[in-house]
Amino acid sequence: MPAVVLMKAFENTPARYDGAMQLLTLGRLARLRREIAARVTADSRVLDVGCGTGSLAVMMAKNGARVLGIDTSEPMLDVARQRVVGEDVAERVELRRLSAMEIEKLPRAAYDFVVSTLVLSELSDEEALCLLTDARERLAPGGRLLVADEVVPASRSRRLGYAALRFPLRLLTYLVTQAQGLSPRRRAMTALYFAIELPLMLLVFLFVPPSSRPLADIETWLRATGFRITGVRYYLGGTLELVEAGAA
Amino acid sequence: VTPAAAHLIDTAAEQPAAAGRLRGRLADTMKRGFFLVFRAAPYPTPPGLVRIGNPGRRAPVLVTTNYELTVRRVTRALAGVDCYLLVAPAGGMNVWCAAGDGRFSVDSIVSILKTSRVGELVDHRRVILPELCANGINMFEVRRRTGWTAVFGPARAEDIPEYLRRGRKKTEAMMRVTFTHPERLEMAIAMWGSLSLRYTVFPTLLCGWWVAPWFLSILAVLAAAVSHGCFVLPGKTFVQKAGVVAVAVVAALGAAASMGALSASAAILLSGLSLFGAFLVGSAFPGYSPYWQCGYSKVFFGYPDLRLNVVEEGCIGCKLCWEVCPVDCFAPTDRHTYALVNPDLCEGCMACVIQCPTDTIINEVAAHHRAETVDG
Repeated sequence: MPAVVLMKAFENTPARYDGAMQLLTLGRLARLRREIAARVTADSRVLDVGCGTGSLAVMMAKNGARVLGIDTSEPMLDVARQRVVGEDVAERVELRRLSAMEIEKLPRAAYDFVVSTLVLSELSDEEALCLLTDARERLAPGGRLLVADEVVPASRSRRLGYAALRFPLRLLTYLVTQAQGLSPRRRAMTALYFAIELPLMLLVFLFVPPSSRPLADIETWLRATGFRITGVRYYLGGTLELVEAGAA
Repeated sequence: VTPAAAHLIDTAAEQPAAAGRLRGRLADTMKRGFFLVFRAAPYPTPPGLVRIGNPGRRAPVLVTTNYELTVRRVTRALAGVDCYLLVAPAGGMNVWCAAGDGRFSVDSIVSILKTSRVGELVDHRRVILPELCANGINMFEVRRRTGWTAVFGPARAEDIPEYLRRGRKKTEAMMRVTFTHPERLEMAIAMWGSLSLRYTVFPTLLCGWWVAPWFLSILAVLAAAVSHGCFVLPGKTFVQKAGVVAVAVVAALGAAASMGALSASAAILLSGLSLFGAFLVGSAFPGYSPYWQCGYSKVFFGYPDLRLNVVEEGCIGCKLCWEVCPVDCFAPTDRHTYALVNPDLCEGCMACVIQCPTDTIINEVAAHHRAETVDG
């Protein structure tokens, strides 16, 4: 779903992030997370790369897993910490500020599941391949990788509709992101600022590549980094893909 | 799928055929022209590793951001030096802005050190960062998270060869930014481009299309005059300095009207636009200079960006603040510490606050707002 791109706008306001994402993905994100949490077995060790506000980590912990959630955003982690305490799973969830490029610092073959949702689409190709390679090395024998991300739909008509929807949503996201951080107390100044800056914002928007892009082929990446794919599921008209894989 | 190790930008790329070369050069020139005027827009190039000259296992490793102009200039400045240049992902912005904006961060360094695999090419673990990223990248954090020792090189890329020749020693001049006339011209063009794009629509809507070229020309005169005369024009603030130039423009318009070259009503209208332009250029100019604070925070947020406070008891005399300050705010005291001796020169980059290893330099504004947030 192109709406996934709108999540960028809400990353700066972590408290509102989950509600907004739920709405934008028509509730499919929660379904996807439930699906992932259901596949994670009790008492297993889970690494959640890019845990964000920790919704998935909490679900998995409630199913009995022991989760290490990592993310680069300190404000998102703050929300996750509050959630973990509020949902009473603090003893089963550990949260750390660590980037996806640093998971090589974690012990090898120490996790039964490595989980990552909506992270690969924000990385460069090189970063994504490094992450997948490191993730495979973190998996214990028989361990499973579960990745879910925004993908380009397979059928041509859907691809067209998708591209047509994604562009305006990207623009909206960009503008919403720009408006954030301006003082709500100075509404008039903010409106004036926005009116004046709009042409420059549009220029920047047209020239700057998006901060995330739908993935063309997760499955090829996985095979190239030594995985064997064991299951694939699509959501939202083939634009959100969940892949389960084990070390080849 | 490209394997990570193949991600190497080669400086001696294949040469295309003559016709393609001409077309390519034309497109390149047009693109550069566009980005000369609209420099405020990011212009990303792919992150990666650039091999310059014939680097060996002990060759220096330098870092820059993936802004096209930055990569081009740094590569040119490094001609004749055998080294590796890491082009780090930073949203296609220049080093100083990207570091201030949070796009050029320790995460960028972590990512480029890993994806470029430069560690397999050299025997040392020392990376030279541009000094102007000190406002966003804490060198101790780089060490802690990557195992690589980070040092700050010179502020300007042109000084890198001399810095390396001196055995990685900086002179004080290499630590400070400059604002020479060619640099001022570049900034004047960038300021003109961004102001034109934002504001030409208003007089055009009010008076019609004929006024647009006049407005653009007046803005160009004001931008050039204020940039080149920033130190010599009379006036305390830059709006006043720009106002002085606007008065000269008004006088010229009056002279043109008296000679009959311009109708009186047009002259009055254009004089008004000159004063409007003076306000715009005067407010925008500090942000296009390396020496003055832009002051927008106070206008849009209601409080200033920063108020530095140096608690001398905490200072261990490590010199970092003095080294990373791009202007000349800090000086040694006779008690082996460093003090903020020229607070008026501060242009608000926050490099000293971010680098100080003992948190002795505090931004009281940020501390105040943090307290406010915590209190709810």
